[in-house]
Amino acid sequence: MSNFKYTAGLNNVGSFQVSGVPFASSSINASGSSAVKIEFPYVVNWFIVQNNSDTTDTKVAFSENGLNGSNYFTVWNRNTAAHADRSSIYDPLHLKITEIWMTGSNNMEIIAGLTNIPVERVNNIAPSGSNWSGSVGVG
Amino acid sequence: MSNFKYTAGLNHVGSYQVSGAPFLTSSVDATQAVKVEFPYVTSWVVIQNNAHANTEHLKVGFSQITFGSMIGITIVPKTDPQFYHR
Repeated sequence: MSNFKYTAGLNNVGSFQVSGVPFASSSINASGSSAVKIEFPYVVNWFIVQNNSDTTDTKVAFSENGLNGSNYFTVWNRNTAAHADRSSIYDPLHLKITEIWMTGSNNMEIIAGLTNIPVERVNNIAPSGSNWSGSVGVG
Repeated sequence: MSNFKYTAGLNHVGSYQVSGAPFLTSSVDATQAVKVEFPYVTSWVVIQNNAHANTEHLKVGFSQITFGSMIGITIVPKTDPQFYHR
């Protein structure tokens, strides 16, 4: 008898139409000398990153190379912008990722909705074998 | 044997219903007109202006003609919501 087990792939529409399995992580200290990596147990459907620092911006990327290069985005600290609700909390970003890398603030939070798609589905096609790392726009 | 390979077209709904493959670029110097090219058709984009001076407005368009003819959107540094468009 075959033991092959079918699982949904990265382009399985239904996996992204249903609500996500919850994932939350808080009090993340990304202020150290080394970047912090958050690994998700399944491929992400969407995520939100929040910076609770009043003084320090945070760089967010999808690989260490991207963080050290120019493939990252900045989540401002709470005092940076007049619209605090927009400066430190992003709208949900709908990206099928498996890791987030951060450096900057000592008080970060992540909320994500996960699919049931195994992380290997992304890692098997990433040039480096991990979270799209090595591909254009990720670093 | 044919080697023709089917790929999704611009109106393939499913391609826009799944979450996107990530693409990030930062520290883009747009003091002169700059073009950012994507490796695949985008599903959505967010653009953020991190300039320190509030007078450094960022103008965004989808072609040089659009840019030159002043048709597009303007993103004010930090004080404005980011541009998010599907």
